[in-house]
Amino acid sequence: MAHAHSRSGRPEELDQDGRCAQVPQFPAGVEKASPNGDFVWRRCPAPCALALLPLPARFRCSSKMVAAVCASRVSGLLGRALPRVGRPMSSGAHGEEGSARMWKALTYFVALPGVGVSMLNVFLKSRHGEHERPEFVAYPHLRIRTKPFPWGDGNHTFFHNPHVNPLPTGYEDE
Amino acid sequence: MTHQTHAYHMVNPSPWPLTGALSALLLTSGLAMWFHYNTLTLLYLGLLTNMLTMYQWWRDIVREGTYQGHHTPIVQKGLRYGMILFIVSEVFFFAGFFWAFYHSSLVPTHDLGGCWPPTGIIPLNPLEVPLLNTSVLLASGVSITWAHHSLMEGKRNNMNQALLITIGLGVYFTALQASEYLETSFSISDGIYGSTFFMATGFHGLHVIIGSTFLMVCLLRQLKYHFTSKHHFGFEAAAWYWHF
Repeated sequence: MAHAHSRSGRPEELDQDGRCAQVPQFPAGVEKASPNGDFVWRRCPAPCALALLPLPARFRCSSKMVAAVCASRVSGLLGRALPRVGRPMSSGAHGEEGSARMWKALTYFVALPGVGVSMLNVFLKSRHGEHERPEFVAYPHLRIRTKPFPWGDGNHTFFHNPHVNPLPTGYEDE
Repeated sequence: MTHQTHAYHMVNPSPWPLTGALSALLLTSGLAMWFHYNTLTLLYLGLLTNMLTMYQWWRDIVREGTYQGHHTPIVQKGLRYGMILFIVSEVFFFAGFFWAFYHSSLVPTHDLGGCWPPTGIIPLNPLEVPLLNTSVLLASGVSITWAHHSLMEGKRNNMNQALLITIGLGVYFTALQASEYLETSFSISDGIYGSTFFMATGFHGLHVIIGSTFLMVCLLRQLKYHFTSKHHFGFEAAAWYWHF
C-alpha cells in the first residue's frame, strides 16, 4: 500500500497518479472486502471530509474539488458500501461462533445414532429367517420381453438373482 | 490498456465444449450401436471422451478460480445462478418420474389386476433397508452442514472429518441400495411397477454416486488448501447438490 503521509502535509496535493496524496492508497484494482468500518475514510483530514457534503458545485473552491476527487476515490475503493462499525451475523453468509460445534454434536449424538438404530432394526428383522419364495405364475403383465436386453443372452435383467427372480418361463433353479 | 477494467471473467479459448459435444454424439450413437448391433466400441469411446472432457474442463475452472483469481464476487454470483438453475432442472427431471408413478399407482389399470402393487408383485418392506437408507442420507445432510460450518469457522480438522463422514455415508447408501437391487423379487421388466420403481430409484442412485464423487473432489481440494473460510463456492455447490 503506498503511503502518502511522508509527502507534503497540504491536503489538496495530488500524487503523480492524480490520487489524493493525503490518503493511503491500495494498489490499483485491489478491492477491499472488509466488512469493518475501520477504513481510510476516517483518516481523511477534515477539509477532504467537508467536500463529501452535497454542496452545490459553485461553492467549491479548487481545494475542495481536489478533495472531492479524493473522496470519490475512497468511496470507489469501498465500492458502494458505506463504512460500518460491525456487521450483523446473517446465517447464510457466515457461521455464527459455535454453530460448527452444534452441528458436530448433532452428527455424533443424533444423526449417527439414528443410523445405528436403523441398522439394528434391519439386523433384527433379517433374523426372522428367509420366507418361502412364492410359487411361479406366468402373469402376462410381468417378466415382459418385448425386446432382448443388450447383454448376456438377452433374457436376464441386470441385477438378476436366480433365487428370487424367475425368468418368463419360471425359476431357473427348479 | 494492458488489463481489463471490469470484474468479469473473459475465459480463454477452450477445446472442452467441443470435445464435450463430440462425446455426447459418441455416447448417443454408441448406445444405438450397442442396442441394435451388439457392438460396444463407440460407446466406450464416448465414455472415455466424456470422462476426459469433464476432468479437464473442471480442472481448468479450478485453476482459473483458485490459482488465477478470476472468481471475483460477480463471477461467483454467476456460478451460483448456474448451479441453482441446474438443480432446478434436476428437480423437474425427477418430477417426471414422480408423475409417472402417481399416474400409474393411484389408478391401476385392469391388466395389473386393478390393484397396487399389481398382482404377483411382492414389494420391499419400506421399514427395513429403505428406512435405513433414509436415515443414512438424512445423517449425511447433518454431517455436511457440520463440514460447512467448520469450514466457515476455520476448523480444518473438523471439516476434513465431517466431509469424510458425509462421503462414507454416501458410499454406504450406494452399497445398501445395490444389495437391495440384487434381492428384490421383481425387476425392471415387471410391468409398470418395475419400470417406475427402477427408473426413479435408479436415477436417484446415479445422482447419489455423482454427488459422492463431487464431495470426494471437494475433499481432495480441501486437503490441498483450495478453500478459504470466506470463499469456497465449489464446496457450497456440492452441498446444495447433496441436499437436493
